[in-house]
Amino acid sequence: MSRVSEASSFHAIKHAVGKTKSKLEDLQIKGSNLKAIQKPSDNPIGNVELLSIRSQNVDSDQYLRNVSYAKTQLVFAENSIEELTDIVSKAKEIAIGQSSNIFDVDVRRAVAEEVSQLKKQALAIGNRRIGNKYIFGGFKNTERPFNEKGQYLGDDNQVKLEVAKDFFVPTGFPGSHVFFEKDSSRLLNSDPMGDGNLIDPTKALDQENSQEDIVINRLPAAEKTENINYEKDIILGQPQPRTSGDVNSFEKDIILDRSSNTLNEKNTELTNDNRSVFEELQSLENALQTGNHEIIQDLLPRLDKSMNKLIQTRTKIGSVMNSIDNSENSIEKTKLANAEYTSKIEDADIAELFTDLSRQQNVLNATYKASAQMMGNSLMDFIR
Amino acid sequence: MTVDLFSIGSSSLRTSKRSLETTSHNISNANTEGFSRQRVQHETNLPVSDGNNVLGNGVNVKEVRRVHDNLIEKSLSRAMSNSSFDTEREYQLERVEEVFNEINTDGLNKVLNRFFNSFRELSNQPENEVVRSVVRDNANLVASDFKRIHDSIGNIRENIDRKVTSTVDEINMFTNNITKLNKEIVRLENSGGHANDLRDQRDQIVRNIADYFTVSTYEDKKGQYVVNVQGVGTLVSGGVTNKLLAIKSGGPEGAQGVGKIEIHLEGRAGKPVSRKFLKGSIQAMIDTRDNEIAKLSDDLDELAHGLAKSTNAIHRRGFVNKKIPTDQNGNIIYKEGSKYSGVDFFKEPTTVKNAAGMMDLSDDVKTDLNNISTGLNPNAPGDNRVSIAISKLQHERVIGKDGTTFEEHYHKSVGEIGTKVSKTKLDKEQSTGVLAQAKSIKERLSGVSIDEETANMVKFQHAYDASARMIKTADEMFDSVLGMMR
Repeated sequence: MSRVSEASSFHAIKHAVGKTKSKLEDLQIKGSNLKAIQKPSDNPIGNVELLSIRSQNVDSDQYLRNVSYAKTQLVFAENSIEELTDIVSKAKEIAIGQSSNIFDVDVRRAVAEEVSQLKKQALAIGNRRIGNKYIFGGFKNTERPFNEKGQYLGDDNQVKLEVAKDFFVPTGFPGSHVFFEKDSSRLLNSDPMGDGNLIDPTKALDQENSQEDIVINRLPAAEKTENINYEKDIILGQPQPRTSGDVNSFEKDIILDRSSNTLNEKNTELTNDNRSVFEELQSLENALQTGNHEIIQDLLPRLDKSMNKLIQTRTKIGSVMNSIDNSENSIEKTKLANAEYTSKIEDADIAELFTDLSRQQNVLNATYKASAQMMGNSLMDFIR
Repeated sequence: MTVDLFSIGSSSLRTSKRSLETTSHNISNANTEGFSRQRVQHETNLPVSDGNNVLGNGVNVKEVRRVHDNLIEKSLSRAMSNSSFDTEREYQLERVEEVFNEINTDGLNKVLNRFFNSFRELSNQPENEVVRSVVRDNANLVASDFKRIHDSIGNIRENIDRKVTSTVDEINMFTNNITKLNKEIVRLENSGGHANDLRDQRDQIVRNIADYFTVSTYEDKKGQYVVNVQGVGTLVSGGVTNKLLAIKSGGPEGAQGVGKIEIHLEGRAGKPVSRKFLKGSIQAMIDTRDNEIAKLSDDLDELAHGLAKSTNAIHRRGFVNKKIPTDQNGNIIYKEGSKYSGVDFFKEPTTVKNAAGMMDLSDDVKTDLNNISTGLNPNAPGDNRVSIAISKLQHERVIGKDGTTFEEHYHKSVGEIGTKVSKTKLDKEQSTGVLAQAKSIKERLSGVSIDEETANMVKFQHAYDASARMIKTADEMFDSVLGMMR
């Protein structure tokens, strides 16, 4: 027989009640917000998984925002290019109509006026913007990319957005690429990661003092343009090696070249094989005004070329849109899977929870009852 | 002969009364902590011989002794040390855990994530002023969350230091009391008997100390306690107390362990003994402070340092969002006092240590949103390559030797603390169970049972009544003898 003292039975009661109550409290907290995890220690691994899934979800939301942003840009660009195609095709009709040397001066004047209007419209399209952002300006998107003469003032860089982890799509189309016959020599391979060298983890944190150690090959050099990473980027057209100079000076040379062309001189004008749509329209207008039908005839294939170029760009935008849609779908799918997994980790099993809860309540009641029985009786009661 | 009856009866009366007194003492102390029930041991008086027979000569009180077992006492004190170690460790670790708990609130994980995603948003519209300010706000949140965690951990550390200091004071008070009781017990017991209540008090104090660390005691020949701590020395030896001191460690600025409270034995100031105390709340506090908290704080510093450094390294390559004057060849014309590139985003950390506490935006970014650089080309407001690169840092393995991402690094910290807390909880559940058992074993032996005392009361009362009756009988007998003379 083991001896029972007041204190030993009191300790037993205290321990039993305390244990049951703390279990009950834990269940009650879980029941109050139906979450299985309240603190990291409830499920250390699950908690960490939860954190990383939440991060992924925020990332996914941001990628989805990037997607819709990229889409807006692309749709806008596509529409603009479509309108421009119409304009060019109208100009072509006019050119065909006026390509013979039989003409009426007045009619030609009027037609020239129409072409002038078309040119202005085209220019307005070239200077289109979303908000205050010019869509055809490359990186220089806060200033008008085309002046009245149709000369390009922007740069040749293509804006890219990350629409899924490590998946970049071009969303900006520099005017130098869209509105000129030859894009290849002008489109810079602007790798969004600075040729992947922008982040060099080994050097980033090496020493306290080596602040400048991060190696960046910033401006894509001439040789590098051929090494395009097709996995990461959708590149329009085949970039060709550049010959000399940096972007700005190169840009300026071209502009100077172009502006030095006098539009009336057929030779210089048409031997330049990289002219903008606006310049073609300008030539057409000039030729109509001067009645030079040879130039008009020469312009016909060039307008065709311009149009092909525009259509080509539109096709490419379409394919970019497709790939964006694909990645959007896969992001949505991942989100769904993540939500399911999250719920598995984090949500309490309601049936189990409440079964446990009522069971613990019963245990507590039983403990109380047993304790009351034990405490309520004393030998004293039986001694008179 | 009747005289014998009187004296036997009165010895019985006295003994029963003494027993009733002890019963009363037991009942009145039924709820006194540390009290051991006492038992009166009865003994027959020295018998006398009338020449033919040896006759009994009544009863007397041999001794009043507490019911006590040294082994049970020792295992109880060990159980207390273990349980209080786990309880204290759970308490401290849970406070740390709370700092890293972002199940229902925003924490560093979310804030960091938002920081990178705001750069991703900025890459959508690098020319947008509003997005820039969102980036700056999010970066501020990152900095302040680093600070929050750094400060909270610092607070916990300071609280531990304070608690260690006050614990040392209490230990000194306890050891001092043991010394006093040692002396008093010797004084009382010199004249015979057992100083039961004082011994109970002394054991109770030893149990109190066992809450702080594993204590070993033994009784010397005179009945005085010697209190020893392995590796530290003797705290109480008979009538002498050796005090403990809590001293803030000094040393050169920036050295490891500066400003921590360490425990020393008085007179040996150069030799900290904090880590010699085993189990109990002291080891729990010192361990948590020097291992878990120190590691978390180092990890956090490493994270903050890495984030600031690598963000800056990329950010410095970019050009600010301002009109930058160039010459005809596109070369930048530098003007006095103007900064077009090489701008830090965060304040460049000087050391890894304390990087989390010092985290802040650079003054350039604080004062002018346009100093947030997005492009690798000058005068290219649409260039988003720098902001993309910064947002890509999120998934780059840049921290530590093995190379982890920022999030992974943080998750590792959170995972570790979570695992530790959950393990400690299990340990605590177990050790409190063991403690409850040890307590109940002790109380079963030494505790007062009212029922038992009631029975004793009745028993002794009957004995008392009967003895009184005996005296009365003797009186009547005496009367009848006297009546014969009349």
